[in-house]
Amino acid sequence: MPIETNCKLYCSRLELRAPGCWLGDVFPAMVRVVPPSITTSQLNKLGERLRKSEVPTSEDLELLQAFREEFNGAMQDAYTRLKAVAGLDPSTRLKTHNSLIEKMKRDRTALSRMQDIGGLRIVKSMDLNEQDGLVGTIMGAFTDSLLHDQRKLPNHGYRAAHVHVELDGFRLEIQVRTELQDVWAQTNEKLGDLFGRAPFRYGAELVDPGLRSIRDLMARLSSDIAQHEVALTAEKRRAAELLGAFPGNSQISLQIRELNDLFRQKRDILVDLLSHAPELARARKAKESTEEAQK
Amino acid sequence: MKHFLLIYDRMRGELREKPTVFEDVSVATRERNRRELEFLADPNIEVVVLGSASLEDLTKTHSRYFFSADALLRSAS
Repeated sequence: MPIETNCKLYCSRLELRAPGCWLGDVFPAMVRVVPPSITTSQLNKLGERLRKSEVPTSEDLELLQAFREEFNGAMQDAYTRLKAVAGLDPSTRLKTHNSLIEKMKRDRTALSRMQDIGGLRIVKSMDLNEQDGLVGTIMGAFTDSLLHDQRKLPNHGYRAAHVHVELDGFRLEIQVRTELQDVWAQTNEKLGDLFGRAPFRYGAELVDPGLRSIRDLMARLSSDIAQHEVALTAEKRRAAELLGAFPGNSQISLQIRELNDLFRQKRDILVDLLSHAPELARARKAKESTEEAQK
Repeated sequence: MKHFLLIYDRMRGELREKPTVFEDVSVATRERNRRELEFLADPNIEVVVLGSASLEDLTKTHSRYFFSADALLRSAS
């Protein structure tokens, strides 16, 4: 077994959090040291305290910050690797303490099991085939990677390809989104910010019928975008085949251009509908409040 | 890669102040930790450090932080 694989297995067993886990001691060929600030047990106890508290104590927040900072190095390494291998310029982020605590409260996820504390995001103008290709390139750039394809199984309407990788002993999430997938996600996050994250992002109950109708609209738009992306991908493949079979045929080129225009128009309509969702939600919520006050 | 410290008000859907840019991630992280303590009691305030080649790139991948709800979507068209 190659030393790197062996080392990764060893580290995954220890979760790289056992005090004094010096890779260089176990495998002298490896010089990298992963500084463990906290054991798995201490980490999960911290998570429990954070989950149960209304407001975290400053001591617990500082512990969480110290743990979270350990991801910085791996995240920078992943950024450099994606740039070198695929010429990508992803953005990076460490999960905010608010989001970490909300996730622990919502899903009861143990802090040591979280997959997306360190994350990178890539947004590109591409069809589904190109997105698959990019995902493959990214997965090939890391020894340990796993695809969570939320295009096949959307998460409350959210569609994207998430690649979970392990680098330097840290789990990272690389989000790969098409532009339309991203526009939908950013709109839905904005709606969550303004009107409640739990109902818009995680399907929690919504009492307000006006806001419920907006959430329904977002669900429909998510399906519409999925259909649009599938059709666009098929059309691009067909166009490439036709152009290959009949090179220089002006009639075929014209028809392809006309079809491309139709797809662009459909895309613009979808973006336009999404752009109205937050304002529509505000108006419907205000109407509900007025009617409630008049009762 | 540059590092941008953002203070975002979820309820208002906008940044509370202009992004601060750092060349060094550890300096950015220290400042974020300090600001997180400042807003500890307010779950609606997000204190986040985002890394990116430029602020322009960041406004593309994390547009939610940078634009009002309407401008957010129109920027993509």
